[in-house]
Amino acid sequence: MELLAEIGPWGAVATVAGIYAIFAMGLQVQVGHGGVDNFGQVAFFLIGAYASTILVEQHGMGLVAGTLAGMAIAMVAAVIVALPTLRLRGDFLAITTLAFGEILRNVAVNERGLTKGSAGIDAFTFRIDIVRELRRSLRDQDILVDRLAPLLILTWVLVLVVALVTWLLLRTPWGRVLRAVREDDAAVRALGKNAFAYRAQAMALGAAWAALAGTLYAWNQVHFSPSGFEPIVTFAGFVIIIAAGLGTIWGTVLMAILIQGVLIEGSRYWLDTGLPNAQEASLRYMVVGLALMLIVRFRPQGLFGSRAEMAAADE
Amino acid sequence: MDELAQAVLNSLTAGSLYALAAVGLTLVYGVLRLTNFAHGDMLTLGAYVGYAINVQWNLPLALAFVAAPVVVAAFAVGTEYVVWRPLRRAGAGLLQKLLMAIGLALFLRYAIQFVWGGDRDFYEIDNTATIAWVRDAFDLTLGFYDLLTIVISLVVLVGVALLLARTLLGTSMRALSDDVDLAESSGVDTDRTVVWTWALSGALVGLAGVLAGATINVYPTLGWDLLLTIFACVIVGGIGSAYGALLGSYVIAFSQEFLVLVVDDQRYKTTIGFVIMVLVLLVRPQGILGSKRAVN
Repeated sequence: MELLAEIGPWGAVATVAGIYAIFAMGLQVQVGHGGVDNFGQVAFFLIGAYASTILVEQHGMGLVAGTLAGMAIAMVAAVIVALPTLRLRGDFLAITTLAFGEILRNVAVNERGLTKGSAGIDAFTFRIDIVRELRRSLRDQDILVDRLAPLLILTWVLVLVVALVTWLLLRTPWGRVLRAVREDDAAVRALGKNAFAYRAQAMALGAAWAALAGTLYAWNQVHFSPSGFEPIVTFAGFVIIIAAGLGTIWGTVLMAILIQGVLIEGSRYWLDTGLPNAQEASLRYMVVGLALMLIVRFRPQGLFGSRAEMAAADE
Repeated sequence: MDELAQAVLNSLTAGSLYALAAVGLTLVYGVLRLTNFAHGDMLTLGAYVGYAINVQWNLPLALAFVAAPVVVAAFAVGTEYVVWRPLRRAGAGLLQKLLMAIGLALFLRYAIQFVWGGDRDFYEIDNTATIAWVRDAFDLTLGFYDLLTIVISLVVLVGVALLLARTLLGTSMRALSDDVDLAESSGVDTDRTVVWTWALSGALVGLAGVLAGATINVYPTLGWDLLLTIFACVIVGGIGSAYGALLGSYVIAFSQEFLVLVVDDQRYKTTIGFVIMVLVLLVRPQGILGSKRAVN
């Protein structure tokens, strides 16, 4: 029997799209629901990738424990970042969080003892230990599986879990207060709720999703370096949530597939411009920048959002 | 001693470069309350105009000191008509403006990369040339293009100061920075002032681009890599204030050069700038010379 024996290039694209769906979901919680314009989401992606990899590969921690530890560290970091910056005005918050991401990337480049610097670090436990064992035992039962299939399936199971958990959390009283905080800070405070704490919690939840995405990124890359954590990762997340519409959950998943999957990762398979690879890559990101500008200008509510969401985001 | 004296020279060079870029960024913020994330990539555009002139067309680099400001100013004015004015008329909020600037920055950076490729390039100049008498008299290194950066920046920024203080345009720009409603009701021609602010901002950062190309080198993320440092200069000095941006540029440059001696790790130079910016935002968000009104 053959079960995903050959997933082909689109399988690899789908894995990356799933990772970005989780990453963007974190941004959606922060920006779309908490009203925190976090331009440094990639920092928590980096923390997830490096923390889980260092704990698992160098300190012998289990994969699940390492992943959860990475998420926990990212949540703590998010609260530490939130404490001083959430009091800042919107554009200062954007600049400060962007700088936070760049500081962490600098640290990852420079602290070679911890991160192996620009040379990069290996995260092969998942691919080697888990996948190899799994494929071997399945082969004994005559089932052939592509070596990339387990992560593809795991990623998309986690996308559904993350989307569902986010969707449910936002329907609790906590989620309703969070939305109220975004729409009218003063009114919430008048009701005796600590608006600041709600925003910090939104930052932490968003950071946890980003860290989970970071760990999956590490497993998918097997070898990765600080160059994978440039600010463009955050902005790809913004393109996804803005195109979907601020506040939307399932729209975010769909847009991660369309933008990160079909457009950014997948266009090399369906679009033949006849240009050299490097120029084609530049063209892809020109389109991403242009798309962001056009959406912001002509359809700020995104495909699935309501116009009020973007306006409320400014309060 | 020599190490410290050398750090002073390095700070002066870096501060002069930052100031050219920072003054334009802060003027646009002052007049439009717009945080222009595309400012760094406009610097890159200036650097590549220099590359086209000096390397591709084999003309003297001196031409670039005129051409780059003109091209980047034209680009900046173009964005006002195509992007920013329509967005303001549509009543866009803060997040929309920030994301528009990010989209523009990405588009411009990758358009530059599309045209010129992603590699590091160098102008065809001898940028190892140093000023002989500085070397002989003090045993210090001051590159020819470092000195040029300091001199050009000084001359140009004195010109900008005169423009702000003495001309109708300068008065209008300061009036808009202070209070838009009051300025408009006093008869300031907002649209015209905004266009000239973009032109000035673009010209200054285009010039900074050529100087960065000569003293560092040319690559597509040149300006983006400098952008957060330039934000740091603007914020430390006081966002919206031109003199603040000038002061902040030297504060950041001197802090980077001297603190990096303390940290003893050159690679943390940019990080030092970011950390100072964050500390200033927490303690005194209006910066050294900024007004409380500009940050509220």
